[in-house]
Amino acid sequence: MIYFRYAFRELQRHPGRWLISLLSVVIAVAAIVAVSSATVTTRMAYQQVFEALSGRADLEIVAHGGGHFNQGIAEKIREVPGTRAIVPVFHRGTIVYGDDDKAKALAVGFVPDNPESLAGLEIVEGKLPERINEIAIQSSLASALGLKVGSRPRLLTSSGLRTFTVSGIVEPETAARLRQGGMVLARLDGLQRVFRSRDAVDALQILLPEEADAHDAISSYARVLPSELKAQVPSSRSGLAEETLLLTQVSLNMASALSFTTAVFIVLSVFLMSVGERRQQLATMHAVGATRRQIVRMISAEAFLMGIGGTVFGIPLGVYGGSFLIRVMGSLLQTNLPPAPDLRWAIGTGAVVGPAICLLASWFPARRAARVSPLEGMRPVVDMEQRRPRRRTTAIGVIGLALSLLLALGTMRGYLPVFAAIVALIISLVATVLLIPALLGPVVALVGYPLRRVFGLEGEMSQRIVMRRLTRSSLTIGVLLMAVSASIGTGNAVFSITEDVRSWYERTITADFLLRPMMPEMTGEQAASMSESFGKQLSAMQGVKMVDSISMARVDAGGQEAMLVARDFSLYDQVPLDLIGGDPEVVLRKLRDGATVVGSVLAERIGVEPGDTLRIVFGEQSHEFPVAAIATEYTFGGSILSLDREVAKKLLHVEGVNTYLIQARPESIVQLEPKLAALADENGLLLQSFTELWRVINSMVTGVTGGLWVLLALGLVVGGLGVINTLTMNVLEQTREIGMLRAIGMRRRQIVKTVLGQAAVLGVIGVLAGAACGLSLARSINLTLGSTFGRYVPFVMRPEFVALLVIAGLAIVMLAAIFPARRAAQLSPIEAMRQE
Amino acid sequence: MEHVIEAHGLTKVYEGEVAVHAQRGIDLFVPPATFVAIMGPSGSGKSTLLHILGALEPPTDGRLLLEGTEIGKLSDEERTLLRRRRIGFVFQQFNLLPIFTAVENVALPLRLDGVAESEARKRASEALAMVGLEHRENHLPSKISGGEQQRVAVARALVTKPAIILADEPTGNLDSAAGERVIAMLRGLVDEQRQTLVLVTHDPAVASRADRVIHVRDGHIDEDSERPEEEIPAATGARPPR
Ligand SMILES: Nc1ncnc2c1ncn2[C@@H]1O[C@H](COP(=O)(O)OP(=O)(O)O)[C@@H](O)[C@H]1O
Ligand SMILES: [Mg+2]
Repeated sequence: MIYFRYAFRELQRHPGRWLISLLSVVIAVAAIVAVSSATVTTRMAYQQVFEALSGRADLEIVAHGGGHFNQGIAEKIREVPGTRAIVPVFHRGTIVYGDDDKAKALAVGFVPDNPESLAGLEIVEGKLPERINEIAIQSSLASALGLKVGSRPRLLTSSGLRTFTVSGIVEPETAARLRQGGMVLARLDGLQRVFRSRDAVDALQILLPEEADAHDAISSYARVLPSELKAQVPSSRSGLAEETLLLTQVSLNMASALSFTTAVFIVLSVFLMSVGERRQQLATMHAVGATRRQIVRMISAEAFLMGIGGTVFGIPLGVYGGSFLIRVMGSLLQTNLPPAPDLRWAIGTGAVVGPAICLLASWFPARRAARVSPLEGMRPVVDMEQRRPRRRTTAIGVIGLALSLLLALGTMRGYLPVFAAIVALIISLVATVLLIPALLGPVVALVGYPLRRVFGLEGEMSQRIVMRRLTRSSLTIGVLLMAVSASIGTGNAVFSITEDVRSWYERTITADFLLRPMMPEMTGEQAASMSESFGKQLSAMQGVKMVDSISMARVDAGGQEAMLVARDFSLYDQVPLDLIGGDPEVVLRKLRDGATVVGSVLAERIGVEPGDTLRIVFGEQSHEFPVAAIATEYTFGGSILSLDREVAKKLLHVEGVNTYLIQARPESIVQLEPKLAALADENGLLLQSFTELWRVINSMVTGVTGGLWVLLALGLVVGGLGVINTLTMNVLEQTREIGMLRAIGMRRRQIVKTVLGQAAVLGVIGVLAGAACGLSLARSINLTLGSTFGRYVPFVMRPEFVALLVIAGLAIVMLAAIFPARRAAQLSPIEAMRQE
Repeated sequence: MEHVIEAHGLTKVYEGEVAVHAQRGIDLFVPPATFVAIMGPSGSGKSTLLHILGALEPPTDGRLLLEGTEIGKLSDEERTLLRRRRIGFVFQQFNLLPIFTAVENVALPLRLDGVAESEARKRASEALAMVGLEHRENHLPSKISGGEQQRVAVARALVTKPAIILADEPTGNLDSAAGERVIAMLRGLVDEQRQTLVLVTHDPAVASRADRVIHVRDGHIDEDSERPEEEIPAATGARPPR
């Protein structure tokens, strides 16, 4: 208890100083609590959204190149350890005939005694089908066709029109984001029989235990699967939303890691200072019999107290910040996230983080304190600070830098998860900070020259004061460097990706509306397709300028599974693809002549380049196509091949239309929409308006950028706090010297100048070095993103953004200096004469 | 101008829980080229008097004229400039800037006053030579002895050739040999440069070198004794270094 009493006294003695460190701990705890609560919540919500759309499978078993397969394999799969549940997938397009109306629908097979096969669906009326001639029908479809429980509609099947009894009405559990309709639920075995596919399934969804690793699982399934089948992560998961989500989470985590490191540095410098100042006191304690361990405990008690304080204030702030982040993420994902997320984990983390920061930061100063000899500090004028950088510090810095480089390289190459990039980031920042003492001398001399010119004597004095407190100055520069470099790094990454998404959208979305069957394609080929005559009907509608019919098929390209997108390129006079290189006109001509354009991810995976040929296998058909170009693709994880529809029909026998892209005459968009919506409802189709999608994209971009600005501000505020802290300490420690200077005739203004000069030295070095580190950081984040997204993301360099940050950084540093400078100027010359 | 220092009824009260009367009406007139020693028990107000005389602190009441200038009418800025140009300080704690070398410390008042660096350095070197420290010019304060540090401080106090030098127990932290050197140097300044020195000390041996000794007690001047000119040489060298 004596330790805590002593610690408490010490904190009371310098309230301002401890307040600043407390604030930095509070910010770090708050950031970590906010980010982890937001991450946990969005991850959960995203899962829900995803499950509602495509089931909650962790893995799926599909046939290479698409196609159905015998469900008997499920028995073998069940024996693989770690299989929690298996859900057979069987979807067929059908037409439901009501009494006087009909609509297209998707027939979905389910297994009555397998609860997982109903995931995401809720029975709202009646009951689930029990007999093979019973169906449950989605409410929107039911109302469109006037069907009720007990009605007896007919379904078009491979065995002709079959009559079923409606046993219940179903509804997706999560409010689906898109206007959906037209799903019919029937017993799997019944559907298989009427569609003449006995025992066949399109896919088997596999649910794994929560802690399971998908990649490990894939390899264990691969061992039991015949060669024509494979296990994979559901393809629809690697969509745009997930990429954005991942990116945002990575940058949020970076930000909290950054605030953690910054807080450690600030607390470290405060403790170093405090220990240095108490040297005499510590030596006395030592002399009267305090052991080294007791001194370490004493310092740790202070750290612990501060950690607790940081936690107490940081957690509520973090919870509040988290709710804000959740709103941002919600708008980003276009869903409403639960307002009261599960905070236990976040709060738990925060509670550990606060004391951890302080104990970590006080470790080195405590050891230093313990090493004070009983005689040391008893001498009157001794300058304790070592001026030469320690060799060991520099060595650790160099090793750390090398290590982080390796980690970054590993992430870029895809050997390591993205998480490793964050670790690398932190290690590299800490390593850079460790190298600062060794580099500071020459750099200060460099920066000092113009400073001396401008500030004269005061400039020279500030330069020397900075050099005299090597450790503290290095820490401050380190904090600034981290704040600025992380801001520039994440900022540029976010700009790159949003720019990328925007340009992709502008390039590829040429239509105003999209019309497709309700459910996302699970396996491409089997997804309900629409007749081609429907396209003609659309083209004939008033206000429609152009209709592009798209056929999609899951194919095998160069041994990899890919989505073939066949469309009417003859309609376009500009290639509607985001090409990476190549003359668009030439590519368009080649496409019409039967060449293919390969998505960048796929091209990377199978190693094709423009000019190569690529074998595409679809069912029984197989053909070699010349590769005209590579294009950026986001959908289907970027594994996309484009072909002209006529070519695909002729050479690969790809039939049917899965999506209609409708371009309206600009003046008739508004009138056209309700007509198309009516048509979609009638046919059980889904209509998406691209203006709506544009809005989604834009709000997403706004959300991400908005969040980014908040983080940048946070980083700079922490950097500013660090500067206030360091300068205040410099001033306090120089009280006597400043008093003497005042006595021998230094003006207040000149005193202010020396303090501002110190800020200028620290600021210029920290901010400029931060900008340089930030740009290289941005570059490496960019490369890391490339490997995460499996595709090169063009590096967008924003000089105005970098300049803005540099100016803002310097401004904050100088602003932060005002307070300590004024404090110094107010010091009385009498201070110099005081005996103590 | 008859007196360099002219003080009329200086009082100083430190308000607080208990008001402290550090000065209770001090009258003091010091002509040029005089060495005044102030003695008195601890807490009697010696330092406070010196601070007021040095324009570091305003008196609560009373008038102070330095070289005929009414200090009470000056702004903080003007007092700063006055200190810079006309007053030199030597403190008990040597009060050198640890970041500057000896010569840089001495040059400081000149450079503060805008004297060019090379010129300031030259004059600082001369001042250091006067105190016998030419060989320590480029040493940092932490690398030289206490006596040498104090001599650097004396060099700094005289480099601007001020009219008044104020010293608060300059030998308090020095052994007697080092103290003697410092006092001899200060004495020399009064005799050769005709500067006025006001020096606080506890040491009768130091006081014996002064032209005039003032005893302060409880904020009053208790006793003010002039020393005959001829006694001064006798005191010189009378004290062999220990
Ligand atoms: N800033 C101050 N506030 C309050 N009391 C002070 C202050 N400075 C000096 N004193 C008091 O004034 C008296 C004279 O102090 P000082 O001039 O330092 O004495 P001396 O130098 O003779 O030892 C002492 O009682 C001291 O405590
Ligand atoms: Mg005193």
